[in-house]
Amino acid sequence: MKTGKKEHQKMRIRAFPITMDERYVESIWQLLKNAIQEIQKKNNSGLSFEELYRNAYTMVLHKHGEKLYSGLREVVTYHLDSKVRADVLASLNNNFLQTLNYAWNDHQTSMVMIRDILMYMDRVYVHQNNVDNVYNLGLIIFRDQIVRYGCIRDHLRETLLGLVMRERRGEVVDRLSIKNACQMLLVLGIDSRTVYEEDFERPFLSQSAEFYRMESQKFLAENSASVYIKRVELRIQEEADRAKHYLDDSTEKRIVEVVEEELIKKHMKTIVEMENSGVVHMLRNNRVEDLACMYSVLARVQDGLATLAECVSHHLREQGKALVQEEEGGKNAIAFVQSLLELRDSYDHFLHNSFNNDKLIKQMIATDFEYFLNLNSKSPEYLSLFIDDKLKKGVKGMSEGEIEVVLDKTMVLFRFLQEKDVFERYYKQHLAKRLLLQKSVSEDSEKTMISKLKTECGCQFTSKLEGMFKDVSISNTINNEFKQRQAASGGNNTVDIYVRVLTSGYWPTTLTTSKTNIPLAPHTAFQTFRRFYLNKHSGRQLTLQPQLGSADLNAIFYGLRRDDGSISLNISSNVTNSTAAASTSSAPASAITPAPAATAGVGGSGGFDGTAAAAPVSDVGGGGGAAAAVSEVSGGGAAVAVTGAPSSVTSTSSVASVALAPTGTSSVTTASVVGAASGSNTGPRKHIIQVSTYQMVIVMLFNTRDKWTYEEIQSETDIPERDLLRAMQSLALGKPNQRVLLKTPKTKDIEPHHSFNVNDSFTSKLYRVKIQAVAAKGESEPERKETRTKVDEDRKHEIEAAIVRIMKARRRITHNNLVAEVTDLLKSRFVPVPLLIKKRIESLIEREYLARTPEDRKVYSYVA
Amino acid sequence: MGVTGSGGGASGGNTNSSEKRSFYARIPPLTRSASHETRRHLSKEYYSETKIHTLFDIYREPHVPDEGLETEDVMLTEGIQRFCADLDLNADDFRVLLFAWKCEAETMCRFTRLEFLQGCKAIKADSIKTILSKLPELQMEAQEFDKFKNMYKWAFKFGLDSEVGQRILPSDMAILLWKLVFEQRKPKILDQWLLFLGNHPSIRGIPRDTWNMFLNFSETIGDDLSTYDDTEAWPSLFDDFVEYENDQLNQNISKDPKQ
Repeated sequence: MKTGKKEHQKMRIRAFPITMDERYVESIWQLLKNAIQEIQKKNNSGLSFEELYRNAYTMVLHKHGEKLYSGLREVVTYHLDSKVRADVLASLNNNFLQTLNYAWNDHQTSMVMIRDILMYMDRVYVHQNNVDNVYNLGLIIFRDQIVRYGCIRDHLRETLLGLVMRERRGEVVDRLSIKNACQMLLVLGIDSRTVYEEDFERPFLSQSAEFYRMESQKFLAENSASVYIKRVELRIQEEADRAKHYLDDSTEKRIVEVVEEELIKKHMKTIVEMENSGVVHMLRNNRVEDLACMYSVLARVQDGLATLAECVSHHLREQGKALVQEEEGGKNAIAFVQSLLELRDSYDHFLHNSFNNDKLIKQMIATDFEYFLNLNSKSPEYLSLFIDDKLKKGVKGMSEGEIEVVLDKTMVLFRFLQEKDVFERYYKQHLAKRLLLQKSVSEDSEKTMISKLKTECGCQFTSKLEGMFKDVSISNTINNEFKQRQAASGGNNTVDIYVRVLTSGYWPTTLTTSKTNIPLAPHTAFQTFRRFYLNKHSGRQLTLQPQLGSADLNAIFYGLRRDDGSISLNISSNVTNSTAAASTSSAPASAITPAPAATAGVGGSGGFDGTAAAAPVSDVGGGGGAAAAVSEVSGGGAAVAVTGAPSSVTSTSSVASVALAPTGTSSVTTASVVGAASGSNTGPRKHIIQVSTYQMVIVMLFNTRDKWTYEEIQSETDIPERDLLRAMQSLALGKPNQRVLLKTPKTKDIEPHHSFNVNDSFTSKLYRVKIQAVAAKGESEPERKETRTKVDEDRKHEIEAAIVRIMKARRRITHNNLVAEVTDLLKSRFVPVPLLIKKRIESLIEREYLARTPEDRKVYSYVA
Repeated sequence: MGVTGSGGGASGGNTNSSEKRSFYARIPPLTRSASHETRRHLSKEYYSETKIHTLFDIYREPHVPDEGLETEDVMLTEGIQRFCADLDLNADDFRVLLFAWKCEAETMCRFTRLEFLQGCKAIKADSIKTILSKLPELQMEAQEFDKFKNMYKWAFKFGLDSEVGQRILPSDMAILLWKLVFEQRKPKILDQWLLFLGNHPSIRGIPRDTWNMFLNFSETIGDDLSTYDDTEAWPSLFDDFVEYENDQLNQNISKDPKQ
């Protein structure tokens, strides 16, 4: 360039700055213009930065900034318009992106240099006139003249989209050029993303949506949810990577949303419910990983988890409903609970391993369990039976630790139970049996279970249960004392009796005082105990409760005569009728007591083990009456309920009932020999038979007569119908090797006129024979109804008590709040139906505990 | 009217209307002297307490000299029947109920002297004729809602058989009483309600609260049961009623599959 001239001008400029005329300005501009053009041609090596800067400075200083600015615009525009665009257009079908990229880079480079030269204009003119600075001006011109020029713009977009598509199809593409192009678009937006968005992102997203829409159809057609979700995961990953690698970062979120929308959201229901591969299929086949995948995919979209949860829930409910479905003749409680526990375990497994312990799903599983567990009204009973099974002695081969684990799981089910009061009732019954029949596997386990219940429901729930344990241990003490006293006094009690004194109210005792006729020996033994007990605790009342007692009986069976050949047919004639006499011997330990052996017949050594529960005779009387129920003994335990006010007992609630477990030996009986026993090879066989108190009463009848009809037994013993039937069934219709009695005719059912006699040909490998009660799994229908009625009755009281408690605190309250509070107060025991509460409110109004307030009939007030 | 089924027993009431005419000859001197004082009220509605006593005595339960027992100073079924006959009204006429209300009678088929006296004084009448002439006024009075409400609430107690210590109105009695009480302002829902009660003999009876609430119920609900909300503080019998009605309705529209 003409440096010399420039020097000249400079000199003059300095000398005469103010007189600079148009011509001179023009010449400076020409100079700069040339320089700019040289820069654009990349011939910048010969240019003097200092000189150019000065010229530009001069122009701006002399208020010719505008000329310079618009001149610049023209020059740049011209350059891009005439030169660069032509190049780019020429390359449309060949190396387009590279060419564009070159042009872009060149432009950037030249614009940087130009900016440097014109820096003073940027600082002054641009600033004052609030126009785009030099560099940005360059960008704008490039944008308008090149990138957004008609077919270039379209072509650029098509090219980029085309490349992405090709890559999606698996081809390898030039990621760098895409990246450059995107960067360029971003830079061209100057301070915003608009250029990028308008020229690329938007079309990109809509094209992607279209693409994935098609793809989802294709995937769905393959009809496998697990494959589908895996592809989805892959696609999302791909798109995210793409955005990260060569698009703008901010696009990642957007494109992922598009994929989620198209691939997941629009089809989630379809995928989840896909037959033979959807969520149900996965659950059924334990596809933990697929489910995890499904979870993470669905978790991405709104409502996704809800859709998943709904499907899981639906399936879970189906499964649960099937499990709790009552079967003909009742379900096996153990299997029932076991299956629910397994179901629970499997869903827990899914929850942890597939669903990331998701709160929503966890909640849903709980709700579902609660839903179907309560569908079956027998659930509380089954649950208690299950626990009973685990806590009962037996050959389970489980360690205490293992039992604890099972119980913990059971508690989870317990939590879902709505009718906890019903459970409590059954639990009490079962616990009573375990305690009285000494069937508990360990006291520790029992206590752990109680403490679990306590944690769950509070001590009010368990106080009675704990009272039962207390009764048992107090009874032990009393019996030891009693025995010592007996020994000391040298009483010749033939029956060894063990009595448990049960506090009435704690135990599930029946209120009907049984008048069962206890045979003399055990009865005497009991009376001795009664005197002893009442002596210690005057004012109490003992009532015998025979349902739960037991006895050991010495029995002698005279057997058949072998010679007689026709054993089976001639039984009756060859039989020696032996009767069993119950004697109490020291409980199980005592074998047959030698003494009474003299009398023919069966000497029974009756040890009773636990016996019965006591029914309180008088429901708790006011002033501290304690009722003790004693179950008796010999043979069977009967329970006695004692009432009275023991001086020491102050609280009204302390009602003691006594369960006696008598054991005793003694006596007994006449054996009547029917057939001649002479010559029999098999001599008389002695056994101890363990029976219930009722059975003892029955069997001992046969000491007095060979044959009794059912009717006669009934009237003789006064045993309640249901219990008698059950006792007879196990004596005469139980397992063949346990049939102590024979029934004529030999039918399954027992009719009043059917008769019974002793089975003299009874044999057993065991010396001690336990007569198993006819297995009654769970309650029979009438019993269940009875329990139900009792529960309903109890609930009435509980609801009323709750209402009164609330009213005492609140004084006045609206109907709806009262109902809500009562429900809340009772929910740990059962869920009261609003109607039930309403009826109780009505009843309380009627009895004038509550009144409607005169101002508002919906508000109640407490009438103190 | 429910006035049947007198003290004799809850169920075994006479189904016929009764009149009262048994005269009890005894006139307590005390009350008589009291009656003189009332003369001082020189309202134009003048009445004589003595006359009222005399009137009462006409219908009073006769003294039976044989039984040494002192008979109560009351008018019972037979007397009331005669009284009604003299008024030329049926014992189950609404107006008789109104009169009993004015007497604040404790229980049906039985007016004590005091009650009778109070009733007559309240309406300022001392003879059959004057009583009759006041009845239209009474009917007017019972049109006022507050008065009506008062009468309605009183009617419950009136219906109970106090001799057996009833606290709950037996259904059949309640039905009669409802019909009667609402003679002048019959709620739209009444017929359905009474039909419902009639069809459900197992309902053990109507407690006071239910009786009182029925008035609110009939006014709140009109005849549109769809506005009924069973979570509100209504007695549960209304729940049953509304449910029953809705079931009936549904059956009519589409043969309920359950049936």
